[in-house]
Amino acid sequence: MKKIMNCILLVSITLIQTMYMDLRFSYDIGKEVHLLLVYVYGGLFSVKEATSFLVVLEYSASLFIQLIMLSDIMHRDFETACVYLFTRNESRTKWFAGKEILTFVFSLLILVSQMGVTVLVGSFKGYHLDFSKTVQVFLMLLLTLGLGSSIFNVLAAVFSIRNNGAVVISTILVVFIMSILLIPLMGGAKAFCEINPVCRTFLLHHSIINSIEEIDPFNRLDLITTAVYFIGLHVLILTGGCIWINRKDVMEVM
Amino acid sequence: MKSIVLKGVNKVIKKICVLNNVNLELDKGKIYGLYGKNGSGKTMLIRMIAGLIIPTTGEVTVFGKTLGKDASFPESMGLTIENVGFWPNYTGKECLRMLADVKKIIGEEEIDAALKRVGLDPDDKRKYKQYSLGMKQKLAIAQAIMEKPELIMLDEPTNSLDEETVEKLKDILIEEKERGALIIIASHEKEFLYNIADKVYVLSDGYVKDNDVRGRN
Repeated sequence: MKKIMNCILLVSITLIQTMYMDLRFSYDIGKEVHLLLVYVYGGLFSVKEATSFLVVLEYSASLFIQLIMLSDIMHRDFETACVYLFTRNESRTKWFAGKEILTFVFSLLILVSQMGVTVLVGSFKGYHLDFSKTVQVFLMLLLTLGLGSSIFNVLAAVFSIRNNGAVVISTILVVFIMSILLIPLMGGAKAFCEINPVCRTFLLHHSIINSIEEIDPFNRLDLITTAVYFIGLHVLILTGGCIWINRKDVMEVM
Repeated sequence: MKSIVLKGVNKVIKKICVLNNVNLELDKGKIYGLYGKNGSGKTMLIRMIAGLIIPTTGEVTVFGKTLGKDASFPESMGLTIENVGFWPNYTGKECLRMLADVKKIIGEEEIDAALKRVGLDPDDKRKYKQYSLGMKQKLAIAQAIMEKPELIMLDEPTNSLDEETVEKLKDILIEEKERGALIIIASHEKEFLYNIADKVYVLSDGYVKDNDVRGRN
């Protein structure tokens, strides 16, 4: 029941957000479905428009909701039944890695369903569908979401063992959201974003918003570089999480 | 060969010695009681045998495997620990199913049977968060026995249980013992322990007092 409610919630939010973005940016989007997708999911960093809280928030809403939902899956296990789960597994690392992979699959399913809604709305409103570009956008967003959920999961696991889970998760979320809102406001933020491979993807997306004609966001090299960075970071975070969970004394504080 | 052997086990937490030179040898097919007042070290000893805490010095061997070296946890163990709950938004049966899915050695039938044994209805649609304290305790016990483990350890199992359920619990424990399981129960309820256990170890300030060993044999 909860899962069905979550699906309805996600689809409704996507529907509203898609309609809103269409209304707000339909002139810039130029009736391309993949650009509408970028508007709906693409950004956490908006250099030129970052001065507006609302703008950053509206770009990030879907991603935040997904991250909260995904980190909640891991957090719930750690906070409640971790002892009964761990003692049934031969290896904590195996359990942790399995959970991460499962979360990534959830990311994929959530993103597919949300993008389906956006594409449907786009088609209904007469947008042009370029399949290959849409798939490229999908891959970028999936990597972004996968990385985000990994970071959230590892943090959720580490902190919910040692502290009051609900408080800590809320704190992480607030810090995360505040950093998204504050980093672009700081001097030199653009340079920081450009050298940071994670932010670069977002910049790439926002370049579309700022000057659609000047930059080709679908450069194959850019996509591969971004994918390598994202997957590399993902592996790093997962490895760090596995090393931590395998520490001998980690169960003592449960 | 003894099923569980603790050799010179000490545990120091924040400069306080919570377990002090514990030496125990426990056999299969018996019920052991750990009796002591709050903070005497009963729960620590259970957690130690479960592999949840590592001894500062000494060694814990369970079914031939040294914990922390050969295995992280005893291979076949059913455990209840105080203050460890289940997923609040799932029914009792769903919670057990999620745990059973880890090892995949039992199916729906065994889960239903475990729930019935402790007096819970497998068809109860209430979520865990709507359970009373007694029902939560029953579910924890069902979780510990459902996979028919070789080692069952229950920490304060009678907490929140009514008299009828305590009697039912005694029957369950005797059935499990007859099956060949090694059962360890930590409790501050003297009467319950001395009624059910083959041997009761009294703990005080982290020491197991051998001269206070009591029980039915």
